[in-house]
This record gives sequence, C-alpha cells and structure tokens, in this order.
Amino acid sequence: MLRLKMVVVVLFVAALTTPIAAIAGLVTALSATVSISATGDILYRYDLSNSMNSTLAAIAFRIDVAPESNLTTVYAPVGWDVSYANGQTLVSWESSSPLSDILPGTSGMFGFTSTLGPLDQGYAVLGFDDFSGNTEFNFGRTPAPGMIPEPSTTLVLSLMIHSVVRVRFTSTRARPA
Amino acid sequence: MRRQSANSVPTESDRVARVETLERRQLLANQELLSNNSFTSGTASWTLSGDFWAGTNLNNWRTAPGYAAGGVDSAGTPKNNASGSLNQPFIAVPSNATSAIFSFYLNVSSNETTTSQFFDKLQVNIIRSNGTRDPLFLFSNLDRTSFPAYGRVSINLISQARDYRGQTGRVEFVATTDFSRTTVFRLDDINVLVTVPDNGPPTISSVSDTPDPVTQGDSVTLRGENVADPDGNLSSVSFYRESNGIGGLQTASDALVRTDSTSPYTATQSTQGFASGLYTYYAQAKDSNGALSSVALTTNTVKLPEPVDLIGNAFAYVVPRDATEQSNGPLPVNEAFNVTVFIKNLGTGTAPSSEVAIYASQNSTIDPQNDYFIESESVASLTGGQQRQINLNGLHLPPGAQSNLFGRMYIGAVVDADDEVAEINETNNRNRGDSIDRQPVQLYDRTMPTSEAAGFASYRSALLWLFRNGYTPVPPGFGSGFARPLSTAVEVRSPFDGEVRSGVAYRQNAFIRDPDAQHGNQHWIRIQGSTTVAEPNPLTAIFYGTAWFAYVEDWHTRF
Repeated sequence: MLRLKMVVVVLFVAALTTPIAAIAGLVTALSATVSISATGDILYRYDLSNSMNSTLAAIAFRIDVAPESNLTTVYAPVGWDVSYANGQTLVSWESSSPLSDILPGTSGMFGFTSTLGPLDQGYAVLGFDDFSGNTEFNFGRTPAPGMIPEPSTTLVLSLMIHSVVRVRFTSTRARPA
Repeated sequence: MRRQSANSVPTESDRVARVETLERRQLLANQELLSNNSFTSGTASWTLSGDFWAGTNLNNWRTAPGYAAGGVDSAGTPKNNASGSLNQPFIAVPSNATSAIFSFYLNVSSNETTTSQFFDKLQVNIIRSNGTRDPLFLFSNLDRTSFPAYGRVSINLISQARDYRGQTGRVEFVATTDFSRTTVFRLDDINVLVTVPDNGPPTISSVSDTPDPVTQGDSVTLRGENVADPDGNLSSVSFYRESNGIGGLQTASDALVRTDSTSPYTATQSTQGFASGLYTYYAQAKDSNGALSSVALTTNTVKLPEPVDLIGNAFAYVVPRDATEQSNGPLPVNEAFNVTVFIKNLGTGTAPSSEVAIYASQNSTIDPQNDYFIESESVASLTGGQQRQINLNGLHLPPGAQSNLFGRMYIGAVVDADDEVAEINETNNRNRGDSIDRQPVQLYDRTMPTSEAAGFASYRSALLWLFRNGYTPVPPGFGSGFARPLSTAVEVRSPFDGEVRSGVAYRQNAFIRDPDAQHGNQHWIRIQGSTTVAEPNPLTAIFYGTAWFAYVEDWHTRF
C-alpha cells in the first residue's frame, strides 16, 4: 500500500457532449469520477447535466449499489435530499421542491464514499413537469460501488480501471398511471 | 261332491266344513259356525251359568252321547226356582252366505198341569257382538205337548227381518222355572249352518311381456291381462318363469318371479346373467278362497346386447374469472373452473347411464389410482352413436393438490368411472389425447400480495416515493404503472415450475391513484405482486420462447 496523504487518481472522466434531441423530453448526461483516497476509500462523484434541449426538470436521481456499499459522506446539490441506509441496494436523491430542480441547461453534483470498488451499475434520472405532470425516466449505466476489493489489490484495482467514457442519453417516457 | 241344501236337515257330516277340489275350483259347502253341537264333548265350547246342565252322563239325548238341559240344577236334577243359561259364540257369518240356519232340537217335559199359563220358560236369543240381545224363540211349560220328544226348531239368520251376514255373535238359551212343578228343557244338536254359493275361480286372459325381445341385462315386465274373479274376491296373480324343464307350470319347481296382489298385476324379471334364447313365463290368478285361474303363458326372447363403447370425445375447461373467456387458458390454483366434456357411445347398442370423473394429474396419464379426484357427474343413457355434453361447473383443485401441482399439469376425464357399463373396449375410457379427454394446464397462483402507500400531497411526491423505492415505469406494451423486482427477502414459489426463488425474480407493480376520500383526499399508491418479466427459469423461457412477453401481457389482461 502506497503511503500517500491524498493521492487522487483520476480514473474516469466522462465527457459530456450534448446531442440535439429531435423530440424534447428529459435529455440528461451523467459523468462519473472515481478516485481513491489516501485511506483507501473509494470516492465517487457524479455530475448530472440536464440538457438545454430538455423540456423537463430532473427532480430525482438514483444509483444502484451493492448492499455492502456502506456509503458515507453522501452529498448532493443544495435543496436535494438523500435517501440511503446501510444495506440498501440503491442510493437516491430527490429535489425537495421545484425551486431546487435541475432545470434544463443546468447540472448538479452528487457523490459519496464507499469501501467498495466500482462496478457497472444502473442509474436512473426522473424528469418531471409540475404543470403538465409529464414524467420521464432516463436510465443508464455508471460506475458505482459493487466490487469488494482485496486489501492487496487496491492498487491493482486502480490500474485495472481504464479511462472509459460513458455517455448516456436515455429518454424513457413514463406516463402517470 | 255332496252338496247341502239350505233347507235340508244338517247331518253329522255337515258339521265340518268341507272343501272339495274339482279341477282348480274350490266349492264351499255348508259351513257350521258352532262347535260341540251335540255335546259329545260335554260342555266344551259352551258357557253355562246358574242352573243349566250339559254333559254326557245322563241319557236323555237325541244323539248320543250328550245333551244340555235348562230348568235343572248344575247336576241335571229338575229344580224349582231355577235360573241359568247356556251360550256359545259363533264365527262370522260369511258375507256371501245365502242362508244361515240356526237350528236345535228341543224336548220339553214338565210337571205343570196348566194348559194356559206360562210358569217355566226357555228364552232363545242371539247376542250380537255389540251386546244387543235379539230374542228369537220363547218356549214354556205349555210346549210339553209340542215337544214331548225331541223336535227340530230352526230359523234363518239371513232374512228381511234379520241379517247377520258379516257379523259375529252368540247363541243363548236362558231357562227359568217358578217355585213349583218343575219343567225341563232339553237341547241337542244345536247348529248354525251357513250356505255359501259355489266359489267361481278367477280368470286371466293372457300375460303380456314387455319388451320382447329384451336385451340381456335389461328387465322384462310381465302383466296379467283381464284378471277378474266372478265372486269379486280376487287375491293375487303369481308370475313364474319356466325353470324346471317340464312343460307347463309346476308352482313348486318353476321359478316364482313375483306375486302381486294389487291391480294392475305385474312383475319385473331382470335378465341379468340370462343366456340369450327363449324364455317362458306363466301367470295364474288366485282368489281369496284359494281358487286358481287357468294358467296364462307367454314367451320372451332374450337377445345379446349390441356393442357399447363409451369414450371422451372432447374436453375443455374455462376459468369464469378469466375476462377473456378463453378455453384452456392459465388456471389459478385457487380459482373455480368449469369443465365441459363430450361423452360419445361409439357402439351401436344403448349404453346405460354412467359416471364421468375428472382428475388432476402431474403428468399426461390420467390414473385414478394415483391422481387427484376432482369431481364426478352422471351421464344419462346414450344410444348408439349418440354424444352427450356434460358440464361440471365450479370445480376446484383439491386442497392436497394445490401444494403438489404446479407448472405444467393435466386435468382429464375418466369415462364410465365406476366401470358399470360393459363395453367392447374398456381401455379407451381415458388418456385418448389432449383436447379429446384431457387438457394440459398451466397453473398459476392467483393470489398476489397487495398493499398501499398513502398520504402523498401531490403526484410529484408520490412519484418521488416510487422512484426512491426503486420503481421504474413499465414499458409501453407490457402493462402500465411502475414496477420493481420484489425484495430479496421475499421468497416466492414459482407458479411455472414450483421452485422457490428469491423475490428478485418477480416483479412488483405499483400504480399512483388519484386522491379520494378514503385516502384523505391525497394521492395513494397501490402495490401488488406479480409474476412477470423477471421470471428467470430457462425452461420456462424456452417453453414460451419469443411469445414470453406477449404471454405476460396476456396474463395481465386476464387477471
């Protein structure tokens, strides 16, 4: 184990490009950054962008995680609440009011710390229009806690993770039941 | 045959009812209703009271030995101030009697000298069964000149003045004497002799048999035709079957089929076990006096039955709760279902009524010994080639089967389930094929866990609750609302293969409902379990192939 006060290894940089959506709705992109702290914890940071072309605000965001993730230091944009307890299989954030929604053309930062290494996990973004009631879900895959690292393999783990650009533009429309 | 005229004097031989048989006729001659008529047995059958004597130890009889006397003491000694009686009940006078002659022989000896006054008397009465005393004769000391020796006295108990037909009663002799000069009234040969007309025998014109020919195993009905009795005393008609090999009726050795005492006079003979061939039946009437009619006979042919073969010819079921009303669809284990089975008689003969039974089986072989009995229903008689639709409604899988049957199983029919019908082919009563006498069934557990989450002030907050709890929209075309896998903590027995799996293999649906009063005028969420797209069983996936999603959608449509 290397002794580093704070070694930040940038493993992932998800580049955001904004395509032009033919049909407006919820058009989002998610970039994830995973790093390892000096103490060996895995830091996960997610930048959720709502495209200018969206017609819906992003009002909630969730990521699937392994039950053993034991997330700590969960943070979110101002006005967003987090919902998570140890053992749960997802961490969820939601905007507490329309005033704090991630409106089209804006973005929000989410993150947490875990002892588990990244695995390809599912995520979802909920788009909603308070006036029309229109609802859409965006789904995608992103690095999230899922792998239980061996103590001696933390570095190897860091080397295994290559720079992978993941771009997700998902637009899954859901209508109110 | 000797016959007794109503007006002739009874003789000793007449005192016994005689029955003589002439051919089949019974002729009843005179019939004596009293016993010990001549006191040859002393006081037997007679009742004496007071001063009356009867016996055989004195010699003033008319016919030896024995006689009775009034006006004497109990030892037979003439007595002044005597008072006594003698009586005997008689049996009922036949209702068809033409005469009933009450007669006796009387001898009066008296020490009285008057020729004009009654001092000592003998009163002769009939006491009816109700106690009424009918006086018939009065004799006195004056009759010593009329009956110095025994003389016959008689009266017909059947006349315009009196008619004792059908009645019972007593003959009574009451003797009294005054204080002086004794009178003795001697009695002998006391009779009540009835005469009945000759008994005409009953008649029977013929005996009919239906059906003729009769199919082996069926019954033939015999009926005596034009049965009558000239005396109106018809008693019964006995039917016999020729069985001793001797031509004609021998009642002791031919087989008695039945004796019927009620008109119409009939008997039923089962031909179960009879060989095919010609059978002779006799009928003979009898009246209440035992007279017999001539013997009527008929012949009846027993033929072998035509072949019968019962099969299940079509089989289907439907679940009434199934909104599509489609036959042979998925069957929830705890829902009622209706079975329709067509039973056909492939033979040319008529099959009697039978039973069809429905079974559930874990395999395609319906076996009553090992499978689960569900229900049975009677099947009415089927003529040759006839087919009948049998409906069994409201059926349920037996409770024991619900835990043992899962996934793919079968329900099927067993025709002639109690094996009562003799068929030319006993091996085709079941397992002829799918849709013929059985159906493969896909079982489902209809019960779905349901719950509610309530108290959402807005649609947005309800939506966020679903999002927070892992729900995602159901893709268009596969249902509506939201869904998520069930919790891993929930174990679910797969309705497809019976295996118990983690709840993640199954989907839980949720629907946001509009506010209503029941939920505080707030949005609420209905959550229900389902078994849908997450079913992971590869065998199932193969089974349904590419139609899997359509099948899931179909399931949602049904229930």
